[in-house]
Amino acid sequence: MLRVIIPSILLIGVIGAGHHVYAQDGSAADIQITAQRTTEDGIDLLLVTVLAKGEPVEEADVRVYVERTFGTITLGQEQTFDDGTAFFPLPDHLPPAPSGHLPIIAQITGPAQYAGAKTSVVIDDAPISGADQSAFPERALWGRYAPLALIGTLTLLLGGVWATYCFVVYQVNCIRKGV
Amino acid sequence: MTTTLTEPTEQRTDPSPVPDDVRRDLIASLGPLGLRGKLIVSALLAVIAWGAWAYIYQLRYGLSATAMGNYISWGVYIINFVFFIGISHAGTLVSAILRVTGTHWRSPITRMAEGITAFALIVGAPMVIIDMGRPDRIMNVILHGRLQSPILWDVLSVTTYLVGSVLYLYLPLIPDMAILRDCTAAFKPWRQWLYRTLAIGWTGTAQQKIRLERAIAVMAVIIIPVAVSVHTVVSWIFGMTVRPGWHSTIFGPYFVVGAIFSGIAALLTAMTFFVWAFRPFRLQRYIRPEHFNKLALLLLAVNIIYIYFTANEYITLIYTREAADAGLLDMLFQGPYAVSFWVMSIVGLIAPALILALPWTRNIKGIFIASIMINIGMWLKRYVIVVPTLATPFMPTTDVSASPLAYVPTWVEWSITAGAFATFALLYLLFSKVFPIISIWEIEKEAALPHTAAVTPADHPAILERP
Repeated sequence: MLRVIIPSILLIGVIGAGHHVYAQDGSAADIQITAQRTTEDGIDLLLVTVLAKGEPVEEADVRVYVERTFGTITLGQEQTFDDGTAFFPLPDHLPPAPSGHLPIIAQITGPAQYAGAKTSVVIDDAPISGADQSAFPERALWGRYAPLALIGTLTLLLGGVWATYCFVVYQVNCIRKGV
Repeated sequence: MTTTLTEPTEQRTDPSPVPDDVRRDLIASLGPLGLRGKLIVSALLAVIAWGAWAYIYQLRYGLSATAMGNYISWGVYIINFVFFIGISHAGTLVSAILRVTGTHWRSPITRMAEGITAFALIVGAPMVIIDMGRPDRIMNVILHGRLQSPILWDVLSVTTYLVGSVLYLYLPLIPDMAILRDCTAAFKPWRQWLYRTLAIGWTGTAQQKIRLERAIAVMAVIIIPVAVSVHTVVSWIFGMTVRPGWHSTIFGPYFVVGAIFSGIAALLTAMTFFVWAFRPFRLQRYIRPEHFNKLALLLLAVNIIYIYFTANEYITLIYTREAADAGLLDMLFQGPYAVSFWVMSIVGLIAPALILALPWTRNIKGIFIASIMINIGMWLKRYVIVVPTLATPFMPTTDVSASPLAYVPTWVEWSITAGAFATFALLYLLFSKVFPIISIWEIEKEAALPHTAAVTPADHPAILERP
């Protein structure tokens, strides 16, 4: 969740576009990577631009990925053109987070002096919004509430055993009283 | 000191008659510990203290102090949990099932069996809490538990079994507590108070006997399905997953049979220990070779059944060789877990079966050795069930080094394990020195020996002295 919130905080007031300045060597403006959605010939694309001190960086290795529960899924790895741009197709099959947002991260993986710089774009209109909860019965083994048959069975079994224990304790009490 | 197990030259085929001085022998066994006993207790306390310190270390530094990780998230603690729950079936089988079936030769060994059950549960159940990195969250299982979860079923069933076992241990103690209560000058004040309290006013009236017999009979019947349910539910912790090696429809009865198997073995080990360690109190007059022989034959039968279940389990996996199962089988038969698997199979299953089956090895010494081998083998069996499956995950392990899939328990885990076994041994030993390890009234009842006078110190000065 933090991995969703933190990049989103960096994108205050900006939807559909990302801008992040990160410096490998600690300097504020050595490298700049931006990403924004675009459409070409009806195809949803992610346009990533890499600039170093305002100048486009050619042949920078860029990896675009999304974060999942146990790791990341790489959507593409490209090298930037002479104008510092690279295009990545946006997937139409990835489910978003429960909030409905799908953060997509673009990260420079080479050359070494720029590696690590990254930015993210939040997709608000990811086509698959997650499992339809209404498709699951309210009471099910995998649902939120236990099936009534399970509740009844466990209550009957445990109730029967503990009732027997109470009977035995009653017998012990009678022994104690000598009746 | 030479420790040999000698046997009378003649074989007794019926449980009676028993010596008239059964009370003297068994009450005398409650005397103070000798030097050897004190050394044993000191050693056990030292091991327990070391285990407790290891647990404090684990609480301080978290589960990173163990070898458990993302993939192998269950280790020695869960193995110990399943092992101790397993041997707790000793009491259920010997005390309950043999009582329900009217088997009279069980009388001298019922309390030993019931003690194993109670103390195994007391030690085994907390192993799950020790396995938790945040034990303060244990109440979440109750407060926010999902009734659909086998974990919650496990908590409910083990708790129910523990309460039932303690109740079932206590009920047959009542008349013996009255016998000890009446030996007023023989014991220290705290013991007198304890026996008086636990005797709850027992005077042996006809009505009291009826109520006690009724209570014991009811508990004997109810504890059997509870015990079966406990180990079935424990098996479902594994069986209800879809992991290779765990997702098996026969895990329920497999675990129950395994529990009975290790329970009888633990009982035989305990019997041998008491016959040897309590030799000055002549316990061998009550726990006779025929008891060992009968239990050994029972153990052999269960051994064969368990071998059948084990073969069934692996042959089906070998024949189908599904991808995930194939990886597990390779690890077990010839991979990093091969030593554990084959030691478990040979030392824990095959060799004991041969020892118990052959008449010239089925003596007390051989039975004792077989029981030890079975206990070791069944611990390894739980290891072979838990760890290798976790080391063959369904989820892809790309970009992960091999180390997360290897599991070598750390000193913390071994120390806590040693502490758990030492706790079990200490509780059992102390129990045997405070309460008669053989049920006096049941022995007398079987032999129909009349006793109208209370035991006095003048008659039995040995009570106050270490033999």
